[in-house]
Amino acid sequence: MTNESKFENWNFLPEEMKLSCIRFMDFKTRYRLRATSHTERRLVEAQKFSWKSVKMRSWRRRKEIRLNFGFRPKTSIYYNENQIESMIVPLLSFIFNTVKLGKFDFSWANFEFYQHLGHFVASSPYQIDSVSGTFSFQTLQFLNNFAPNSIKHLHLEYEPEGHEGRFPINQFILYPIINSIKLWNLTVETIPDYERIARKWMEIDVDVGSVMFFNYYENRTTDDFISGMEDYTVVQKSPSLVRMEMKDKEKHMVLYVTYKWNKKCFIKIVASDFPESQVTDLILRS
Amino acid sequence: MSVEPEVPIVQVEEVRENPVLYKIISSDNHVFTISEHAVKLSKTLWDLITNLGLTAENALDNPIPVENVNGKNMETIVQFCERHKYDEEEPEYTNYIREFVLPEWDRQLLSIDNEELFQLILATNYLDIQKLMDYCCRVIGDMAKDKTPEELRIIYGIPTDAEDDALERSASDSPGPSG
Repeated sequence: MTNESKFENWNFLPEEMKLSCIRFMDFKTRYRLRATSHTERRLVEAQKFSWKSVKMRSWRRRKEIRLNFGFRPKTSIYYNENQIESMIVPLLSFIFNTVKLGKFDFSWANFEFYQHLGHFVASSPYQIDSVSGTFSFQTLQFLNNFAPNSIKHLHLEYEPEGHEGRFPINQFILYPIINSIKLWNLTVETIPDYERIARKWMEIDVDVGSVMFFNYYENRTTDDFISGMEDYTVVQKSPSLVRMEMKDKEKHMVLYVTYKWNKKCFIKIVASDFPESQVTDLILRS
Repeated sequence: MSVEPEVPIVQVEEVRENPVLYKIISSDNHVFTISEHAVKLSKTLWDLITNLGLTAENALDNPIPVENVNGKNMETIVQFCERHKYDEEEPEYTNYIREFVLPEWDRQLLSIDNEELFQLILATNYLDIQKLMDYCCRVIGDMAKDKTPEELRIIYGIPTDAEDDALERSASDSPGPSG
């Protein structure tokens, strides 16, 4: 290391100048600078930057964090199973607290890998546009770290661990981020009150393409569904199907319920001109 | 305003394209001439010129004293401003690391030691020259590339948290100014 490459007056720079310098540092440098002291950590986390996506994947005992900065090359960092706590958690914590992220995807991670998400504490609210993965009751807490209005697309599969039980709809519906999500893709095995999701979707006027798959297990009819949605106009109704207008009349909500064990029930948002004949296709595909 | 220079005038660059020149006197009484286009890169100096009502006719008779910047830094700053006076406005960068280019000429200009760079960045901040500030920050930021946390502590003189706490404790234990 030569004298010319030193800048020992760093600590005498005003913080706004330090932040300007950090702006020119790449991810690896910022991560290392963050490790030098509490002051630098605070500064590094205050200087946000943008990435396209982060994916977590499990390859048996090998764990992969795949980083897409929005330009080539993409970077993959591999860890062993026993490095989750010591290496992966600090890295992800840094990313979530510092990066404005297009997408966070852990749908290819196994439970032992993603269970740590539930333990993250946000030093600043996370800004992630799209989240995709399998949640348990424990990891659902992760969604509470997000800045309100940050998340636009949620692709969530709910798989309770052990005795966690049904999807915690009462808790979920209160997360501040819920109100900004315009595109949904939910799969839940059992949901105690699916009408609450439907009402929330009506309220926030979610986008065409949003869908929730679930298993029907309570003796509730389409009439019960309609009775909770009196403000909206029903345009089609049968014992197993309801189609109703949303706030934006260009969109319709379709509810399909069935008792068949091999078929999923669903709520889906379609365009108002979506042909009635194709609703059957939707049912068959589900 | 009449300040008698103690040292000869330093003509950094002869300016032919624009006849309007201004005189600047550094804290150590070096006198510099700078063209109108170049001086506009410094928000502080241009505001001063505007507020003083300096014109093409009276500019050279009214040198502007800049007490916070010495001759060495002012020379670098005038060179920089003359070099970049016709540059197009900087684009809105989405990725500073990849898109922001530090030209080789400027990298050479800023290849100076720790203390000089520190004084220059303070002078640049005072004179409010955004482009030079960005270039200085880029040079400082680049020093960190591919360095370990331990190396970064040495390069930037960053104390550990324990050292930082000890410094704070000794500062709070000192009796402080009397009276």
